[in-house]
Amino acid sequence: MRLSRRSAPYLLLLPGLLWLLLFYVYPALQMFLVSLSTGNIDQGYQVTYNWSIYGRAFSEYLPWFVRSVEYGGVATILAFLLGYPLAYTIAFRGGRYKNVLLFLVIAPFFTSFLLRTLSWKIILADSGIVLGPLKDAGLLPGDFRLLATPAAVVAGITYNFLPFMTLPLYVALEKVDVRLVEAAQDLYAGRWRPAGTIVGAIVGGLLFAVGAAILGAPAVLPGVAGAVVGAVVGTFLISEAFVRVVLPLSLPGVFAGSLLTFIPAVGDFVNAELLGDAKSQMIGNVIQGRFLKITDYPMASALSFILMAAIIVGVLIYARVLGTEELTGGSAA
Amino acid sequence: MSDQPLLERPITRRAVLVGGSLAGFAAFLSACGISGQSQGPTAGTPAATPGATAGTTAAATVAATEGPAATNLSGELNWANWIGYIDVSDDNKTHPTIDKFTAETTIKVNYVEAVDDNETFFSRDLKGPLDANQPPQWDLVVLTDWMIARLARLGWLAPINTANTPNFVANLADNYRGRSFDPDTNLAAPWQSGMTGIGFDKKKTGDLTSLAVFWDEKYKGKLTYLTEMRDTVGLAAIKLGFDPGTITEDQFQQALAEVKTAVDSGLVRQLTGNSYVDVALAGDSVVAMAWSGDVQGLIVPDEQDDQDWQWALPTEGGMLWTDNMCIPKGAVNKGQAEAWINFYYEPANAATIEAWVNYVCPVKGAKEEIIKIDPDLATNPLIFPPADWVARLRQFRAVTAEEEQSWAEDFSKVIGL
Amino acid sequence: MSAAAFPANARRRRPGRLGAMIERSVLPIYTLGVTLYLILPVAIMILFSFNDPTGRSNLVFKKFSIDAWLDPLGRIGLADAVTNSLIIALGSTLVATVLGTLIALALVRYGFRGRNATNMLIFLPMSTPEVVLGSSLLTLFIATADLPFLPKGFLFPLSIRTIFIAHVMFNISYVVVTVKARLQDFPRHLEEAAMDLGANEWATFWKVTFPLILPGIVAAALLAFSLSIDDYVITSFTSGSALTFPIYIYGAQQRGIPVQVNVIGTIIFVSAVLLVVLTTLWQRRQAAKDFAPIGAAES
Repeated sequence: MRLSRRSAPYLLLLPGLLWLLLFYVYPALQMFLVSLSTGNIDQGYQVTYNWSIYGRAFSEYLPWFVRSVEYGGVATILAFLLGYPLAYTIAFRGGRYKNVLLFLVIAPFFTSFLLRTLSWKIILADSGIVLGPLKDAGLLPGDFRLLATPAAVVAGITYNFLPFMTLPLYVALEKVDVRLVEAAQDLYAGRWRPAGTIVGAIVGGLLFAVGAAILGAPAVLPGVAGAVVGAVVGTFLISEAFVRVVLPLSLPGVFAGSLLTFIPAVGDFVNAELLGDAKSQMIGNVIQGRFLKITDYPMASALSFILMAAIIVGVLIYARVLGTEELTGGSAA
Repeated sequence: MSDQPLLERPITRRAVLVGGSLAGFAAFLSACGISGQSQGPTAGTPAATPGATAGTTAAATVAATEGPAATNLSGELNWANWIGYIDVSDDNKTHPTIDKFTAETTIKVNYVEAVDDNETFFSRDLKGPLDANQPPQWDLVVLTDWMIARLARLGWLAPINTANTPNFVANLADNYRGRSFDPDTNLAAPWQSGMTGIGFDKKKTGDLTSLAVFWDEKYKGKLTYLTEMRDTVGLAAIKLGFDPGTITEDQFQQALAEVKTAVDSGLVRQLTGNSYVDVALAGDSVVAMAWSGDVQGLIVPDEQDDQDWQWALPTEGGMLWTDNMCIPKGAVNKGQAEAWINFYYEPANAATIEAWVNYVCPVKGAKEEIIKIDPDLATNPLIFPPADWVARLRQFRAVTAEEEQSWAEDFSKVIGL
Repeated sequence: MSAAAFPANARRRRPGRLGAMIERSVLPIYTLGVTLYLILPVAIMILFSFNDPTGRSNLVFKKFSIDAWLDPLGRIGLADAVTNSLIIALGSTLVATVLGTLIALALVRYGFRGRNATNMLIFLPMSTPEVVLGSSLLTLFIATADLPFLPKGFLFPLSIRTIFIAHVMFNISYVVVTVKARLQDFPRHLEEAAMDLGANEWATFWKVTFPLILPGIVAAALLAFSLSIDDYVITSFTSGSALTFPIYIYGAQQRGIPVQVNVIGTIIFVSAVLLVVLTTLWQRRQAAKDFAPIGAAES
């Protein structure tokens, strides 16, 4: 077998890579060619190297790209804020419940993505189990709604991809050596005051204000609320040892988790379709609609190609920071 | 019936062509609705095969009048239809009419609810093979008339061999004959017609009759429009006093602007396809642009329910559309598809389906048959619209390829896609 | 280890009563809240599988009933959809697991030219949004409609076959990554020992390597299966008119979802949970059986 040692890896790779080349790389190229075609349904499409379509795609559909990045970004940050304490608790305080908690984090994966999203439709209905009682108690105006709003879209995306954020965070936090934390505490790392209060207030206030603005709500009230929450968290819950030891050590998990959340979030169209309204449709909805409903293949292909290229370039920049091996090997596992 | 005079209007090709489908439609409604005494083939009707009267079974007919196209009629039929568009047995497991067809003809029907949307179906299921002159996977497809017009324009429809479909020749309601995209009445066999109007929860809104309700601030956030361009823009055009049957570029843009205002101001909660039904049932909407046949399913006959969904044809007018069976070019089992068309155009079979789907039926003599099933259905205006409804119904005109592309594009921008 | 990183080092500063209370209770309460949030939609899905809705829409809970459970496939098309989903998931899992494991073996066990490019090719599909994967495959499939050298109907019309191709494609990368993670801390010297004892490469692989990486392969297969059976986005572009369970759900949500869909969803959920629990138990037993003596002997 020594002889085949040089060819062995290639033989092992061949079938799988061939599949990827044929059904991942080649379709991408095909799609690029289609994007440069002109024509219509009646006459068919010919490749005419019509580069101007990319200018049109940018100028006409910029708002959809921006909106997708905004929603994806807000959802990623929300998932981080929700997922980090969760991953932290499981990793450091899970005790004998660790496996149960981990299981609860991935449990939604065992249910159909569509059924989960449709469940939210039931939960968030205008007079459903959440809004109904609040309205009856007079806490919300009768015409208040969550469904068919940008907030519902972002909430749906956050929910659906939260496990993608939490698991890598957990994997990273699990690896943190508790003795390092103890050492830091022995070296007089105590509370993180007053920096924690200030940083917490600023970060919390900004996040909530910007988030609210993106969702089209007034920014002031959420900003103030966010600042208060941030200050409380920063004052009571964040220690110096956490800021100086645990957080930096968990950064690979933060990177991986944010990528795994952001990528599917930006390209998602199911949440916007099921939970959104006409003004909260994302670029995924446009691509899907252009391919399957309007049959404007060149524009659909151009938009799809731009989305793919933008994300891959962004990811490669990340990859440069982290190294491909780590990204493909460590992060998603 | 009060629309008798309308029946006597001459039905000219032109009347049907230029959006003037009303006369034709009235005629067909009468045809559908009135007992046999007034019914002979109307002048201008292609000569009906005398032997093929209603009541002949499909198998027998096919066997008797057989042309070479369909000699061995066992085999199978691959048929794509819309969801909920044919009768279903009480245990939800079978389609009784299809079972009957199979029993009579030994043709095995592969019935799939594969059509969600005309465009999606066109691009996903038809375009590839037809473009490449390959046989499509479907032998029979149900699509809306404007899509039929496109397929006809592209030459992608196989003409029905009317020698195999004597029931179709004899019992097709007259107004469907010689439509603009199908002058020889052999490309498309109408399946159901339906109306687009106001669906409303009577307990919350009271009786509604005017299109103005779709722009009423009172229902802000509780209104849904349809993603079907011809319905939504069509209703907006009617509201502005235009006839969708003769709509011009300028009128289209004005109507579209009207839709855009409502969407941008947040008046409209969502634009949906079929799923407006779900939004309505969840109590999230109280007024909806709705298709006539759906309302039967919307009305929940349960006392605890605080909903009472009704459907009304607006006083200003509503939209009328037709879904048609057609055979894609190169279909493998063309003879079997024709056998089904012949079977459906037997009034008893059409009536069975009609009693379940609650849309308007294109088969003459179905009303007599439906009375046998359930006499109440014969007075159901959704299945047999009265004359004053007929007068208010409009059809979106056939559009050119350029209009089709640019209007679809403009509309999609307005609905956020 | 309790309260390790978040503050509360009693030695240095006693927090006030309020502070102490917040510190002690916030994280557990928070965790409980988030897990409830994660599980709530699943619970709703299960609850509504016992509903007896009055209309055709299963959105409001009316009356407890087990009717749907007694007849879980009692809707036209549902049985076909579930069958197709299972066929595709099983088939694509099998193929993707084999192909992906081979790639993972090559990447971990051999140094070769083109390694980085291979890594990149594995990584790219995972970082491409699903809507792009689906739409680009659609352009390919449509374009191949008139290619002369392909058997007719191979890539077009769209069918269960094209769904299978797509599912294998997006599953390969996940399999590679999962198996690789397992291979990376693989005790190489065991293989070397086997070879020293005269086993050839083939025997070494089947007798030593394969049993050791089997848990990784099983984990990868489980992941691939769950991704495949739940995929809607890519399938919607590549299915044509073939129904899968997610496609059925999507179509049904347009017109009111039958209770049976919730029943099937619940069955899939429970089976997945059981499968994971059993696999975990099995892996623990394997680990205890295989590794312990060897590891003990080594150290």
